[in-house]
Parts: sequence; structure tokens; C-alpha cells
Amino acid sequence: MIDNLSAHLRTVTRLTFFFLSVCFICWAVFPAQQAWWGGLVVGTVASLVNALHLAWKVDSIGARAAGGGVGRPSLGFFTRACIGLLAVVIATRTFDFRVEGVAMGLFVAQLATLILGFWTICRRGRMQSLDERGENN
Amino acid sequence: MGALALVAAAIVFGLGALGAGIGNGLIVGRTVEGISRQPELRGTLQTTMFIGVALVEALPVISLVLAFMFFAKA
Repeated sequence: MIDNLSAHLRTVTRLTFFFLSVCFICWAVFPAQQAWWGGLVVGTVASLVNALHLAWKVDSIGARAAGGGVGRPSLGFFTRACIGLLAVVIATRTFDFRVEGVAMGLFVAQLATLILGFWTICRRGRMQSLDERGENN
Repeated sequence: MGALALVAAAIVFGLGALGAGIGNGLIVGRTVEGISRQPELRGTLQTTMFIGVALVEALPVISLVLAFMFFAKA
């Protein structure tokens, strides 16, 4: 069961890198759609950076709520919005990739987080029902 | 067309940011309240908060990209 934030983030990172490898393979296999795959790669990298930054901010807010930590807490949305904007600018001005691909790629880490969260909730419910029946004892 | 595209960009990012602000406030407030009451549940609550905030914030980031596309077409 993934109750630890760092373990959850490690799994999200693994899933995102798996998606990136699929994108690079498709880039090589389908050269006609390189602008789409390139946009997806840039958006996915930005999405992973956003997820890592968000995890750091969530951890600092949790530490502050638990009694430790100093400074003014914030979620840092402006930084993540600027990272998304930077990904669009890099993809369109530097490499001439499709901006629609970047928009789809920006959702990859969040989608991985959603799927992993649902999977964790289902697994937790199944483990609890096994505990109540005494099958884990 | 140009002015309408600018209005569309403003609306899409403004409404996305408004929804994300309300959602983030609710999530962070309840999580901080829960951690203050039961600090031993910090790991579980932080993971739930991470999932919730990641989902809530995906919308304004994508709306920012959409606004950028509208702005480019204006």
C-alpha cells in the first residue's frame, strides 16, 4: 500500500519515464508525426517537473502543519504555470513542435497520479476486507 | 476574431484559475486540519493531498496552454 508520499512519487516517476520511452519509440517508428511526439515529450517532461515541485511543496506544508518548518507556506502554482508556459515556448519557438501535443503531455503525470490513487484506494479496501475476515492473521 | 480570441483566452484562464483556487483552498485547509488533529496520519493525508492538488491543478495549467493558443491566434 502506498501511503508514503516519496514511494507514491517514485511510482509516478517510473510511469512517466515509461510513457516517455514509448513516445521516443513512436518518434523513431512514425517520423511523419514527429512534431506531435516531440510536443508530447516536452509536455511530459514539464509535467514531471511540476509533479516533483508539487510533492516538495506538499511535504513542506505537511511538515509545517505537524509543527516543524519555517517560512510562509504556499503551493507554488505560479511556478508550475510558468513551467507549463516555458514548455510551450520551447516546443513552439525552438523545435517547432505541436502545441496540442504539449497540452496533452502536461496531463501525463497527473493522469498517472490519478490511476495510482484509484489503484491504492481499491487495494486498501481489499486489504481491509481481508483483515476484517481474519485472512491476514 | 482577434478581440474575441483575446476574450476567450482571458475567460479560459480566469475561470480555470478561479476553480483551482477554490479547490486548492478546500484541499489544503482540510489536510492541514487533519494533520493538526492526528500528526501520525501525516503520510496518508499528504499522499491524498498530493493526488487531489495534482488533479485540481492540471486544469489551470492546461487552460494556460489553451489561452496561449488563443492569444497566438488573435
